[in-house]
Amino acid sequence: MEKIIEVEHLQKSYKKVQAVKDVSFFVEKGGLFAFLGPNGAGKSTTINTICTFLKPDAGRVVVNGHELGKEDGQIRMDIGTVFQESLLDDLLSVKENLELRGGFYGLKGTDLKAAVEKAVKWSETEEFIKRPYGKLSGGQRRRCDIARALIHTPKILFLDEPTTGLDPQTRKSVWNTVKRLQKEEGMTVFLTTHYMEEAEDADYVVVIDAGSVAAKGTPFELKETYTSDKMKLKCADQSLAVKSLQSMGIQYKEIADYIEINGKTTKEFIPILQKMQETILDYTVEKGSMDDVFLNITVREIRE
Amino acid sequence: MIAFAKRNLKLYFRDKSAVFFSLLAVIISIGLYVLFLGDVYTREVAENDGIRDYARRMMDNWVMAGTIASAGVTVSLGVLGTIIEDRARKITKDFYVSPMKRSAMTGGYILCAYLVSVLMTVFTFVIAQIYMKLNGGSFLAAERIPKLLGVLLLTDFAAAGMMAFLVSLFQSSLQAYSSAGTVVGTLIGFIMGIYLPVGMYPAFVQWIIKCFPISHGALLLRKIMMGEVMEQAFDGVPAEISEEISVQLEEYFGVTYYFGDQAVTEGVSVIILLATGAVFMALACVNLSKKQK
Repeated sequence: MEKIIEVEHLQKSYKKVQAVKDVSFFVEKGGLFAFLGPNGAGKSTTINTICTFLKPDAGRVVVNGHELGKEDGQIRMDIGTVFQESLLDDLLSVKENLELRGGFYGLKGTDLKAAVEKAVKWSETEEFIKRPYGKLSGGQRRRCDIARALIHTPKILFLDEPTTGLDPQTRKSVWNTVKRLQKEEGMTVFLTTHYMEEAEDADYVVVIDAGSVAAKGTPFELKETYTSDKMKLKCADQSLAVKSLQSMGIQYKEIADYIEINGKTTKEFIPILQKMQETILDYTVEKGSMDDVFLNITVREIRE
Repeated sequence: MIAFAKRNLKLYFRDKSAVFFSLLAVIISIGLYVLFLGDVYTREVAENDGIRDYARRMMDNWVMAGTIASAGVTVSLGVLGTIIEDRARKITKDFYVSPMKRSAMTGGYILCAYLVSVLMTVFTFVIAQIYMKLNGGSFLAAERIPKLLGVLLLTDFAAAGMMAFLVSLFQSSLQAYSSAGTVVGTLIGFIMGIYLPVGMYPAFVQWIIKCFPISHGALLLRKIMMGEVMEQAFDGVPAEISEEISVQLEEYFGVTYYFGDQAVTEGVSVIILLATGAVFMALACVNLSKKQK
């Protein structure tokens, strides 16, 4: 696979605070890349640097073959960015906004018209294209922000927490739009999010904490490494059950009226279930989730 | 730069209240004059109806010339407020992510301010002409119009430059910007010599006014607009007498500035306006195009 973004030993400080200490990773072309981390971990700083409006203190960033700091103009042509904030002009209609922003990329006349039409189709904003941006709902605005980011048909789409603050239904439909862009249009999607079910859909995940890369891999690999599967047993006679677990040499935890057992894979639980068949009343098996991955990697202190 | 100026133009005219407020200083000065200042200025003048008529027409042109020139200042300051708002709302991020150069952005802001102030000063001039015609005066002679338009272009150039520099000092503070708007709106009427003729101020204040570059725009406009009335008023009066009186009048009303005995020529005023616009625009560009570290 071809690498479309390469970040090597990126460093960035604000006065005394070292926001990004030493971050290296790459993004594969056409993939859905998730960039996770708790608040204040350095996510936005990293994105803002790749998007060319923060100057890194050290390190090398290459976007689609263009080196950051030398070919910023070309990088800007290749990327489209959806920011956390809504950044279009409230008083102008969606269409006016798109046409004017398209002009910033040198689009004119029929090219501009075609570009607006395409962006509107991709982002599904036809319905409210004539209404002022400031009067739209949060979900509609988000779609317009996506249309804005797509106006010049970028190769890479950056989304900084695109679904934060949206209701579950809107979140889902915005998320589907993003996935469709990646699958059908072959766009590379670089995303930060707090919703782990979104990270679950990613092809590759990088978790950053306190300015450094804490873990990276596919969601599957991360779950393998950083989570365990869980089984909860409800038994007729709990003390008897505990005894037989001890005889098998299995680690367990007694919690209220049930017993919890951790295992590397769910398969490990089968022999236990077979042995204790008689006493078990009820059981549940839980797979490790991206939530667990995130918490296990980053929870060391409580952050605000 | 053009694409960006287009965005600013659209945005400015969409916000009707912003358009109104940037013209507020102009509306106030015209309003005060129409309601009572005009009468105060001319009441004392000779009882002779003929002279009073000329006096009234001169005062009309005097106040309107100053008002038109100051419109360029308040309007460009109002339009340039977009810079502060864009920064405060962080919309600038969305511009920085596009390939548009920062200097083109700054240029777009200033170009928009310049175009709008030219439009608004021309508009103010038209309103002033209509008012004077209704008030028993006459329209400005057609052959004087091209020169007047030239002076408007120059005055607005200097005004847009100075205001861009002023705004570039505030970065993203809406508070500082709106305070500056209030101060400028209040002072401009005095410093351009609209509320009081230049000759009525103490020498020190006169000196400040003469040094304020944009007041040279007001001066040039007064030369064009009042000059016509004065020529008509002194028609048939022996040259020795008319010259002496008009020199006094011109100094008193700020139609000609004197530094000591030296009268400032029109050419010097034009150069002052051009240089002011160029220097302040350059400074504003430097201030506004700085990249975040």
